[in-house]
Amino acid sequence: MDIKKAFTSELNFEAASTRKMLSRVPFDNTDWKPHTKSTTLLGLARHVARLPQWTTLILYQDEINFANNPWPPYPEIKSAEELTAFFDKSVADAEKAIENAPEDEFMKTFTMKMGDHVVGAMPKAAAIRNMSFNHLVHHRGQLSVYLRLNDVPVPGMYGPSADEGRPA
Amino acid sequence: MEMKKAILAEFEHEAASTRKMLERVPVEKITWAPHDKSMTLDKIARHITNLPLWITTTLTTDERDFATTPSPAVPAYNSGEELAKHFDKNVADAKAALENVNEEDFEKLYVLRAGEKVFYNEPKGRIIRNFALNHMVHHRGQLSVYLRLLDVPVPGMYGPSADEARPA
Repeated sequence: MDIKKAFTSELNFEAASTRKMLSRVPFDNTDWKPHTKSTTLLGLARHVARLPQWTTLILYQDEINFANNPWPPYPEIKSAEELTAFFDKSVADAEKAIENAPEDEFMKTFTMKMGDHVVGAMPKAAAIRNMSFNHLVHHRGQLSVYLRLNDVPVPGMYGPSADEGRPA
Repeated sequence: MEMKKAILAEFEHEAASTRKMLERVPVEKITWAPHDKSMTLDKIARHITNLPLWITTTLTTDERDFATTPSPAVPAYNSGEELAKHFDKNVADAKAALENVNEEDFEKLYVLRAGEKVFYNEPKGRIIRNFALNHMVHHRGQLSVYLRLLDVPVPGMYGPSADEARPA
């Protein structure tokens, strides 16, 4: 399969389900967290919304150094609409980055550093999958429990949620 | 990149992280659920344990009918380590199935249905990404919140968890 096509189609598929989850974040309770060690609802939701930006960064740069504050500050997000708009922009940029990348870009090595220490190095295709896609699915899964605990109906991701009918 | 090599590498990486999470499942709390509508700890842990089987069945059959083929039961477990061993077995089977296929097999169509109703008719590579890998990461993310709420230290997945030191 064409690697660019595979990435674009998976991005679109996961983005559609992620958008559903983000659109339900209750903005009257964004400081809430399920445990003192957990991140807040807003902290988690905007983290999920940003994760497609990893795809863009990996395709335009050959390394990331966590010591240099690589991510721009978050915009102010005060509603589920603003949250999904922030997410849509992250997805659109990632899609464009995939579209513009030459096929061999995906085989180039991407390096993650903390100062001089190399945390990991892998082909860009693997880095996108790991740090952008799977990372997003991981935190989106956590967000689904946050919504559940706030009595917000949860959209199904890979099958129906407990709020949705099982297929007849 | 060769699809087979890419999926194998990603699966090994994600399976290793998943094992860390499963090992920590506190068996004395398996009937606990964070919310009335949530799966119990036992149910979500067993579900994750079985998800690598999606790789095996997708590669060794051409369709799955949910009406006639329920998921196989996970054998009993008396500790997180025993649960992780059941998971190891499923991972080993999935890896063997991956080793045995040709690159073209990932392009073959796979049908997911419940009787007459067809949900998906997609290349096997895409089904594996979606229903084995991403699906596992999704529920593993949920399980991480369960562990947190049960005051079990959470292993980091794509970076350090709140229980782990940030790299210096």
